[in-house]
Amino acid sequence: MSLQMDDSRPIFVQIAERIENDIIDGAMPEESQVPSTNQFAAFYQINPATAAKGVNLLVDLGILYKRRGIGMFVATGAKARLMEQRKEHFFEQYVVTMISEAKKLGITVDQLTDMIRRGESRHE
Amino acid sequence: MNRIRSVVHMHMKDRLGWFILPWVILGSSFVVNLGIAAYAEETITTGGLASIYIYMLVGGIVSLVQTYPFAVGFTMRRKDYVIGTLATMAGFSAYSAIVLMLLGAIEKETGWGVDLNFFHLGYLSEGNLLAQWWVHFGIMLNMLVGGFLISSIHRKFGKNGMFAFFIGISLILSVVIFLVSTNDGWDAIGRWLRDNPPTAAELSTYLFPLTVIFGFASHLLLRKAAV
Amino acid sequence: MNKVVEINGLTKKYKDQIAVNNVSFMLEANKIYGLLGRNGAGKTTIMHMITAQAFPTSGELKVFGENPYENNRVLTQLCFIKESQKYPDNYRVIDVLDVSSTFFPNWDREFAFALIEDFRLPLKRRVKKLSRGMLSAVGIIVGLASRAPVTIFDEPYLGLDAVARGLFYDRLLDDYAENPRTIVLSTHLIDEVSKLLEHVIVINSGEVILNEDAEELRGQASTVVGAAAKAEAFAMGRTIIHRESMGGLASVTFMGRLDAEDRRQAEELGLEIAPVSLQQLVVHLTKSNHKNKEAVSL
Repeated sequence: MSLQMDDSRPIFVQIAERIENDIIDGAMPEESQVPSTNQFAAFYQINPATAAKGVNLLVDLGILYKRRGIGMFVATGAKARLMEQRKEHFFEQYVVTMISEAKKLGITVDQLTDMIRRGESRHE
Repeated sequence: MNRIRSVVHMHMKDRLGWFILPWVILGSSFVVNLGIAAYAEETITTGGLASIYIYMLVGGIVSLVQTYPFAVGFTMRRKDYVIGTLATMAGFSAYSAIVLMLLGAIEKETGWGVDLNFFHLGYLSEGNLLAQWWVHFGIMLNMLVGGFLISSIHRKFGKNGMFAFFIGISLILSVVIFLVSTNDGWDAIGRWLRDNPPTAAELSTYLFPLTVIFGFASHLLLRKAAV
Repeated sequence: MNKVVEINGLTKKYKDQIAVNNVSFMLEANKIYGLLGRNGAGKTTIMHMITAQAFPTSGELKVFGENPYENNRVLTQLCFIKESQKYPDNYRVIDVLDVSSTFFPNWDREFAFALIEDFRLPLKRRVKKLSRGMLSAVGIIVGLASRAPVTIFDEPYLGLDAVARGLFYDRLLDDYAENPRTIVLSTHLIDEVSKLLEHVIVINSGEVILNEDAEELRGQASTVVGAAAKAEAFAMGRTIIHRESMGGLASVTFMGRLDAEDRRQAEELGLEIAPVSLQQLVVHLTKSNHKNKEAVSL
């Protein structure tokens, strides 16, 4: 993953996305402590207020929670919830578009399933 | 008070300008004269002392150029800058005057073994030690603050402002001289000087209010001068 | 909101030219601001007025609720590091630090010396003999170690290489996190600092043309690329801030985010959508000669 933040999208969103990715791929296990706002700011060379906004976004969503005087932690069940969200997102972004594109090309659902199997075998 | 002390401290950091250069210049003038006096048969009296006075004038001009943009650039209040600078100049003149006074006293006793009058100069050195100190102090401080004023004019009004100022001064002087001449004033002045000859210390006292005016004028100019 | 600087209708005229024209904005406590714009836009003049080094022709200026002019309650809380800062000729680096420690009440001596190590500055060398980059480093060190509640850096890194600039951003962020204060970074090199900024004020030809939260601005403009006629048609009715064309192709940049419907429409027209970075946005806004004021009403 690039260290650089993309300057054409809000950075706090990108911070939140990176934390989510780390939770999903296990780099940040549940109940583990998340780096502080200032650590994020220093690491990515971004404004601490922006980093805080990204972290707080996840607190509002219940992915992270705050322990007074200690810091931020990954909530239990956060990974499962994020996976669920990602799956939903995957469905909207890839499956729905794939089907609409397939319809244009006259591909039936059965043919589509075949194609997916073929793609999977190639992936292995 | 704290801020004024910071300004004094700022000036004192320029050791070369305040503590070394004036004595190097005066010292080299002294050494040259000492050499001449060693070869000369008769008593040598020289105006080499003027070198330190002129250095003061230049020093006054330069100190503003060097420190004003620095100090005000680092958000020093202008008033504190002016007061601190004038205090530095007064302190420096006081200490230098002590040195000159002592050197004059030594010279009076020894003539440096070669009969040289460098620090102890007839009219300027009349009176007791305190009077001699006051003469040196008055002249040096006037030179420093005068230089500071010239620099302030330049800072506030630029090059053209300086020209205008000096043209103005010479015009005023011309008018005064003209008025004195047309009213046969020179005789009166000459008579007054003969009847009440002022001592050098008295002249130094007359100089003092002028120095104070220079200081105030500098403050008024710098109050509204940009950096 | 704790306002540390309030500027209202500030104007600075020189003999035949208006350097700053009816500028209004405010700075809040403990934020990092970017004062952006091209060289000669009037940024430096504004900062000179905030620090009482230049005098406004008209308008209102309050720093910590007071007029900064000859006011020690205000001036002792300001530190302004400018590209053209003068130092006495006979000063060595150590003298600058020593004097600065008496000028700035919050001065942190240890921090200053740590920074000296970081930037590898020769303490005993005379400032006059320093390279341009080293001179910039002196300013950066004074600015950081002063810990002034309002610290302004005006083009602070002239002559500094990428490593030293990175060092500056690192130390700035570290120290800001521990000692929050209002910091103003004024520069025409926007790409490097944009991520440090919480709020952006863009000055063009002496006027404020943009005053916005940095995060709000990211993604605030979009570019579409494609057949000229189609791109123009798509951008119609939007505030266009930049146009480029090559043959029948055109790239049109305009203000405003695109929603899903816009994207679908663009796709149907065969247009490609490209994001616009904060830097590109500011460049576009300040490049055109015509006033972009209407672009600012986001």
